[in-house]
Amino acid sequence: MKTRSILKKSIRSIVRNRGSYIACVIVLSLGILMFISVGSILAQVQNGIQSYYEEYRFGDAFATLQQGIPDNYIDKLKEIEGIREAEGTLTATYKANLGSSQEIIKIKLISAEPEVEKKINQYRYTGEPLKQKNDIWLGKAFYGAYGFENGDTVGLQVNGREALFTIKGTFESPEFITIMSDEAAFPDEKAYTVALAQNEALEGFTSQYGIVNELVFLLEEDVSFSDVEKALREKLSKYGLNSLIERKDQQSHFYITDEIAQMEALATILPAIFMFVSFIMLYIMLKRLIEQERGEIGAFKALGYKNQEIIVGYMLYGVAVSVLGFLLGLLLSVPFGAQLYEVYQNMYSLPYPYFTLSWDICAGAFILSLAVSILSVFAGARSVLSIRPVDAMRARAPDIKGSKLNLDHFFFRMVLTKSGVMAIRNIERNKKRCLLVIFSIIAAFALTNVIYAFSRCANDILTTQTQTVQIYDIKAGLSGFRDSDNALGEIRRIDGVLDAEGMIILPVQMNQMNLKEDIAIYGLDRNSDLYKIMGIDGAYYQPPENGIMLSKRIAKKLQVGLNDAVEINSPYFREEIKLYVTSLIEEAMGPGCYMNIETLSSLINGKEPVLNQILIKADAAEMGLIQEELAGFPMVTDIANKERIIEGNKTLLESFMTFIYALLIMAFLMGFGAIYNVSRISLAEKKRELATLRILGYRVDETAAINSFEQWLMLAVGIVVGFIPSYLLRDFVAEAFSTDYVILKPQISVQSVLAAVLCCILAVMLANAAAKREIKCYELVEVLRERE
Amino acid sequence: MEKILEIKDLRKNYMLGEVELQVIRGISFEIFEGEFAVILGPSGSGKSTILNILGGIDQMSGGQMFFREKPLHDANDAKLTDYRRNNIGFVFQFYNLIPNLTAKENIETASELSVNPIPSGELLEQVGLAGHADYFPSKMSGGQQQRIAIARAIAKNPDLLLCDEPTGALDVKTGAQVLELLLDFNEKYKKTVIVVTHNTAIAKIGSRTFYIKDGLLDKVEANLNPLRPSEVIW
Repeated sequence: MKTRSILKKSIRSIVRNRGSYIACVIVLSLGILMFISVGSILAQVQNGIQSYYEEYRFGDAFATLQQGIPDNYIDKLKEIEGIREAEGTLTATYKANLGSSQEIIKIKLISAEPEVEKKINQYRYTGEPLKQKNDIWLGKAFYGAYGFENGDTVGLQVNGREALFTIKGTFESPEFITIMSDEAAFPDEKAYTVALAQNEALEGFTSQYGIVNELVFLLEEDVSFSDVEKALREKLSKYGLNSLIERKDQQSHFYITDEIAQMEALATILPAIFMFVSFIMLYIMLKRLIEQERGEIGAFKALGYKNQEIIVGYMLYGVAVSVLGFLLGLLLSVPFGAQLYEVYQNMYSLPYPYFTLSWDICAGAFILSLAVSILSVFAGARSVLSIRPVDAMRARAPDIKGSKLNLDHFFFRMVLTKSGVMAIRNIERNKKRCLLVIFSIIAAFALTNVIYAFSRCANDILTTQTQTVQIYDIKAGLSGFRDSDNALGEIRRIDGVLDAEGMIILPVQMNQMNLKEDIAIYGLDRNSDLYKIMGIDGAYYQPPENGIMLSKRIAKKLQVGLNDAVEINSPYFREEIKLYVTSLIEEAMGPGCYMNIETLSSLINGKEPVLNQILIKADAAEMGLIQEELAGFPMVTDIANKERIIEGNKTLLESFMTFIYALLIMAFLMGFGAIYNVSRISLAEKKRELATLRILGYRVDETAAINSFEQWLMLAVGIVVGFIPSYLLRDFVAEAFSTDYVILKPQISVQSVLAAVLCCILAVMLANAAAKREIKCYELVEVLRERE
Repeated sequence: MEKILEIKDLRKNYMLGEVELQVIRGISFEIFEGEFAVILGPSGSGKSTILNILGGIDQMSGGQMFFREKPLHDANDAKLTDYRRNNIGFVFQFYNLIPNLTAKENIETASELSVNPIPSGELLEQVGLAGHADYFPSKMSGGQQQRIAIARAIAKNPDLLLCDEPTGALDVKTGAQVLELLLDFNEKYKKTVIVVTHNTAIAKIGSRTFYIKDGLLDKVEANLNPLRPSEVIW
C-alpha cells in the first residue's frame, strides 16, 4: 500500500484546519474524561468492594436484638440448614464527651476479641493492637474529623459516669463502608461513629456477660436469605428481634449500592452524549473536506492510487482525533477523577484511599474513541469511493435544485434581511449537516438544562427540608419510649423553649405477601407545627387519623395501593399488626411512611401516649443553653440541631456543586465546539461570497451577520426541539439518582431553561466572534483569486 | 470635465518569498466624471491590481490616490469600506453572484446599501432578464449571470463602475451584449465606467484607453469616435 504522499497531504490538511480539529478533539476528550474518570471510580469501587467483601467475608444476613442472646446460642443458629457461619457481637451506644457541651456525639462500641479470628465481617486496623480493657479503634472518618492521634483519649458517658478510652488506631470493615446512625439521612462523621472495643469492657459496661445483641450470618452457597429467614425469625423472635435483614438491606451496603447505581448511570449517559456530538462534528468536517478535496482525490486516482490507499489518508484524521482526544481525556481524567473520588471518599470509607486509573477502562476508552472516530470518518469519507477521476478534476456540476421555500413571500420580506435569506437558503441546501449541528445544540441544551435543574433540585430539597418540613430548631432523641406528658413537660420547663412536640420514629419491617421493606415509621401530631409532611408538589399533608401514609415509591416496592393492607412487625408491638394504606404521597425527601402519633403510640403502648423524639422550637438566643441542658438529661441520647443539619447540607452541596460546575463547563464546551466547527466550515464554504459582499461595500459586522444568522437560527431550532430530550434526560437522571429517602424531581424551570439558553448563546457568541475576526482578516483580492 | 479619480506615482509591491516583486512601478493618471475608460494590457501587466486599488479592495505600497480630491491612500479598512459602499460598483470576470440568492435578491444585496438605489425591477428590465428575477445563479447561463452581476453593480447607483475582464468568460456575442449594458449605464446615468481588459477590441468603445505594460503606464490614447459594441469587429 503506497500512502506516504497521501498521509503527508493529510497531515498538512490537519495542520491547516487545526482549529476545527482541536474543537473536535476537545469534545471527544470530554467524553473520554467522563468515561475514564467515572468508569475508573466505578470499577475501583465495584471491584474493590467486591474483593473487599470476599476477602473480609462480609455477611449475608444481619440481625439486631433487643435483649441479646447467650453467645453459646449461636451454635444452635448454625444448625439451621443453609447457614454456614454465625457470629455475634455485643454493642452499646454511648455519648462521647467531645465537641461543645451543647452537642451529643455518639459512639457505638462493638465488642471485639482480637485474639479470636473472626469468620465474618473481618476488620483491619491501623495503629496498635487493643491490649488494655479500655483500648479502642475508631472509625476512620471520625478519627480524621477530630484530628485524633493514637494514644489520645476519648471520654464516654457510661452509666452516668465518664469512662476514658484510649484510641489505639482506626479500623475498617466491609460492614462500615458508610457509617451513619439509624436516625441520620446522611453520614455525619462528626456526630457518630463506631468503635471496636475489648469484649471484656463492653460486658462490664452493659453488665451483660456472655451475651450478644447483634448477629451476622454467612450462608451456604446457593442458599438465599429467604431460605433461612423463617427459621432464623422463629429462633430469634423470643429475644426481641429488632431487625433481620439480608445483605442488600444492610445500611452501609445499601447506601454504597445506591451510589454505584448512580455512578453507572453517570458513566453511561454522559460519555454517550459527548461521543455522539464528537461523532457528528468529525463526520461533518470530513464530508466538507472531501468536497473541498475532490480535485486532489481525482488527481490521486488518476495517478493510480487505489480507493483504500486514499481512504487510509482520511482515516488518519480519525486516528489523529481519537488518539489526541484520548490522550487529552486521559490526562484530564486524573485530576478530575481524583477530585470526584475525594467526594466519594469523604462520604464513604472506601477500601482504597486514592483514585487510580483502571487500565481496562482506559483501554476501553481508547477503543471507543477509535471506534467513534473511525466510524465517523468512514461515514464522512465513503463518498471518496464513488468519485471518478474524470468527474473530480472537473468543476462540480452546479446544484440545479432551486429553493422550495418562497422567501419572496410578503411575510419573509418583512421579517428577513438579505442575510437571513442567505442563511435560510444555506440551511436548506445543507439540510443534513444542519440537522446534525442542531442535534449537537440539542445535546448541549438538554444537558445544561438538566444539570442546572438537577443542581437546583438538590439545593431546593435540602433548603426546603430545613425551612418548611423540619421546622424545629432542635430534635432530641430519647433512650426508648417515654411517657409523652412527662417528657414534654420536662422539656417545656427549660428556659427558652418556645414549643415542644412529641414524635415517634419506629423502625419496622413492612410486609405485603412475600414482599418486605425495612423502614422507619414517623409518628407525628396531626397538627404538628414543627414537622410538616410536604408533597413534591409543595402541598402539606396530615398523617392519617387511622391507617398509614406511604410514599408512592415504597407502595410500589410493596405493590400496594390505596386501602390495601400491609403487615407490620416490630419488637415494640405485641404482635404483627395489619394496617390499611389510607393515603399515598410523593415527597422529595423523607422516610415515606407516616402515622398519627396517637395511633402509633397506642400500638406500642396501649395505655399512656408515648414518644421517643422531642421536637423543640427554641428562642434563638437560648439555643446553646437549651442544648447544654438537654445534653444533661439522662433520657436524651441524641441532639440534632438545625444549624448543624444546614451546615452538613451545605458541605454536601459544595462537593456536589463542584462536580455540577465541571459538568456545566463540559456541556458548554461541547456546544461551543460543535457551533464553532460548523461556523468555520460554513465560513470556508462561503468565503468567496462573503468577500464579494465586502467588496460591494458590506461592513464586517454586516457580512458576519450572514454567518451568525445561520447559527442563531439553528440555535433557536435546537433550543425549541431541545425541550423534548431535556424532559427525557431529566426523567432518566431523576430515576437513576432517586433513592428511597430522596426523590429527585428536577424541574425544567424558567431558570434552568435560561441557564441552558445562556450557555448556548454564549457558545454562539464566541463562535461568531471568532468568525467575525476571520472575516475581518480576509484579503479580498486573494479570496477572489482562489478558485473552488 | 471634473476629475473623479486621480492616482499619483502609484506603486504596488508583493513579497514572493524573500524577493520583493514590483507589480506597479509608479503610475499616475486621472479619470474624469462620466468617462468610459479602458485599462488595457497583457496578462500579468498589473492592470487588475490597479483596478483593485482604485476600487479600495487592495492597498497600495506607495503613491497617492484621490477620489473627488479626497485622499484615499492613507484610508483604513472602515474608510475604504465606506468608499466602496457609497461610490463603487464592481463587475468581476467570474460574476461572483451569491448562489443562495435569486437574481432579484442578488441585485437587492447591493441596492439595500444605497440611499439612492435603482429599483431592481428596472434593472432586470434593462439587462433583459425581467423573467429571470426568481432564478438562482446555478440556473442561468454565464451571460445571464454576468448581466445580473452588472445589474447588481449598478443597483447602488454608484459614481464609479469598475469592471475586471467583464467579458473574459463569455462568448463574443454575449460579451458584446454585456458591454452594451455597461455603455448604457455610462450614457443613461452619466456615470464613470472603468473596464480592465486584455482585449484590444474593447478599447474601441471607450473614450480613453490606458495601456499598461510591465507595471508602467505605456501610453494613454483618447478615442474621439467611440464605437457601439455591435459595431466592433471582434
